[in-house]
Amino acid sequence: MYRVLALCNTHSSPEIEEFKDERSFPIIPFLGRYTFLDFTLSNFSNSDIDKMGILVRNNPQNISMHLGNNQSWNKNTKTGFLYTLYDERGILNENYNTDISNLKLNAWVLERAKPQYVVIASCHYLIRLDYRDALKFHEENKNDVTIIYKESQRGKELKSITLIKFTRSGVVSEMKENDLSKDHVYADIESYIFNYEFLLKILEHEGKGISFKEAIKIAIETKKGKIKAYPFLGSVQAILTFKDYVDTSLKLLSYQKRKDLFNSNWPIYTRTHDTPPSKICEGSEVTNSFVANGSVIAGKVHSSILSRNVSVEEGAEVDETLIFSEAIIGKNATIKHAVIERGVIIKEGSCLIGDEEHPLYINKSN
Amino acid sequence: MAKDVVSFILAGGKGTRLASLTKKMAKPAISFAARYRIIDFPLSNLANSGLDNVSTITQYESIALNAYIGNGEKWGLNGCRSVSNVLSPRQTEEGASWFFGTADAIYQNLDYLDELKPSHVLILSGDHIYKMIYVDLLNFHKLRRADVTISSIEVSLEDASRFGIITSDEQGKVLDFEEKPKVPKSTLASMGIYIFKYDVLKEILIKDHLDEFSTHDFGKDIIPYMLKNKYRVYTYVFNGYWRDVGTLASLHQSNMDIIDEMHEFAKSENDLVRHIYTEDTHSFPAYIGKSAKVSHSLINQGAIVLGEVINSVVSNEVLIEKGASVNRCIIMNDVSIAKGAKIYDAIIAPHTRIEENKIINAERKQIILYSGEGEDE
Repeated sequence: MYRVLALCNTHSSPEIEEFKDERSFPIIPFLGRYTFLDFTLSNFSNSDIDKMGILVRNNPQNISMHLGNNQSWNKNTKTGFLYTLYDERGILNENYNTDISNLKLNAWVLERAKPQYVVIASCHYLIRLDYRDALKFHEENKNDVTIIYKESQRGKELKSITLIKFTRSGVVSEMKENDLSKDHVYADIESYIFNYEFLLKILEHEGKGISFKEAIKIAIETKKGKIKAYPFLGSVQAILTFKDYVDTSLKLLSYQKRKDLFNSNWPIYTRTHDTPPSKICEGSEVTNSFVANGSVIAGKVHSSILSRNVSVEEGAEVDETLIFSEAIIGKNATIKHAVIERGVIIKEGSCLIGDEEHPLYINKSN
Repeated sequence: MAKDVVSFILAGGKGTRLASLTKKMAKPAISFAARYRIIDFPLSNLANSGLDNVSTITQYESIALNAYIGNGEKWGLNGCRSVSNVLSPRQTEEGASWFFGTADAIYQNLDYLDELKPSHVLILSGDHIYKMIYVDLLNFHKLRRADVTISSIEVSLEDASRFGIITSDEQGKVLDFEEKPKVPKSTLASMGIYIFKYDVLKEILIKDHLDEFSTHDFGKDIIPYMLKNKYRVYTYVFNGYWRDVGTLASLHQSNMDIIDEMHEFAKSENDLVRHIYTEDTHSFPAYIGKSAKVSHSLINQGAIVLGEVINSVVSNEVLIEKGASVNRCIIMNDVSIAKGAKIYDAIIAPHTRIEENKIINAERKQIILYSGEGEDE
């Protein structure tokens, strides 16, 4: 087993305009039961990595709330740990609030983990990734950095994605933003493995204003270190916009699409909320939907996703909609193509209809 | 620090009337209400009552139960001042012996109780479904300066002969107690929940141990002895949902009731009543399929329902295929039901595979248990 420290990097998460006032990206509810953070942490944990941290860009209190006692993800709560790392001053000064400056400030976590390798992974690419295979590749090739990539034939559709190029032996020669000119591309999915010494050099030499990703790019350009590419063969869902978020959520209702992410040998850990099983009442109609525990459904729910403790009252109709926890959909309300925030109460008889291209976002203030 | 109250959960019995469900698992560990195990109810009640010194007595097929209880963490009983214990029969200087009845199980642990020096001992049963904060019971017990207080509940006259029946005065002083009377004198039934003054309990258990005619049972021996010898025996009347789940029929009925009751608990004004704690199964979210039809049912996380589910309770990791149908059933965890199967009024044991077009209990004369090994009544 390798001595690994794995960090979930939320500095690189996209800012989703709609959620800006309510929540930061890592803790956006997903599929009724999870947050994005859970998938990254579960990948670490299922890969037998028990020393974990979260590089938090902002709203650390939000993340602490989700983590609870921090013990839901570690395979051993004594030998392992899960720290939330943030730079309080950095949060007040966005220009210097980078993952590098965060880890510089919290370098004690490196001391504590004494790792051979450090995994730094973002949480906006939904993947089921076994880091053990990638670490083996990293070690056998004696890399300084391993960039995990996904091969794609749909390069012209992948907006705001970084692409890499590499030689026949896998040495990365270029890393740049996708200009949407090619179909066949190798996409960076922002999961990197660093050699500890190489990471220390980056922390030592790089200025405060740049990120790990930019530091890797500089290392490639200046030909410093051995940087190789490792293919991820499973499916990847990139969540960069509100639309990606809604589309991906609803797409995963299909068994064919979700079976790659949900594997009984690869549990997704999250904090338990001790909510009772959902009650689906007489006279209701529920089809093609995810329903988290604690919900009570008396109305009609089609192709939708309900988080914990949602109530859909009699006569209400919900279609292609995501409903966050504690929300109440009042009697005879009609909701289509929408996202309903946590705790929102939709009044009796209301009608809220978005369209597929522009789903409605309803929070307490609107 | 001496504890005011130390609690015991009696979870060692075999539960013979639950047929093959208890073949390899003690009754308190049996699945309930799609997500829970029966013992989650007393353990959550204790946690919510702030009673954090809890010992669970186990004996019959205890592996699954002991492992489930662990350090009590699932109920928050791993806090810095809590103790969660599992007490099974042990070898001592005097030799080794099984627990011969509920009272004997406590008698054999008097040495442990002496160390704790509690003022009162709360004794619960591991196979009852109810939501109760024991604080009111405890206050009543102290106010009446009772030697023992029995928690009781009103039942129907027809059910009364299944229980220990109490006759009491207006103050709650017990005048008469009769186990399973053929002709009940009242409809006030013992819930099998006792709170004793510890010094009295100790004295009586020592006497009971020496009595060769005693069956060492709280209901059959200890309470009648205390009444006969003019101890202060009181009863506290509980208002709320309570069921004993000793038989397949009562287990089934209680699950049917809970489809509605569960969310009544969850809606409670009192935050402490709201939650029943249990294991988290790391299940994926429940998925209800395109052609599914679900009505008046509880569906737990991890279930995949593609067929028809009516008046039923569906646990985690259950798959109900398209064209399969369950009606008034309890589907325990990790069961798969293939297309065309039709099941009525049944309890399906964990890990059972039901093949295509299988019809179970179409006659619906009684509740049946179905496991991989066949049917039980």
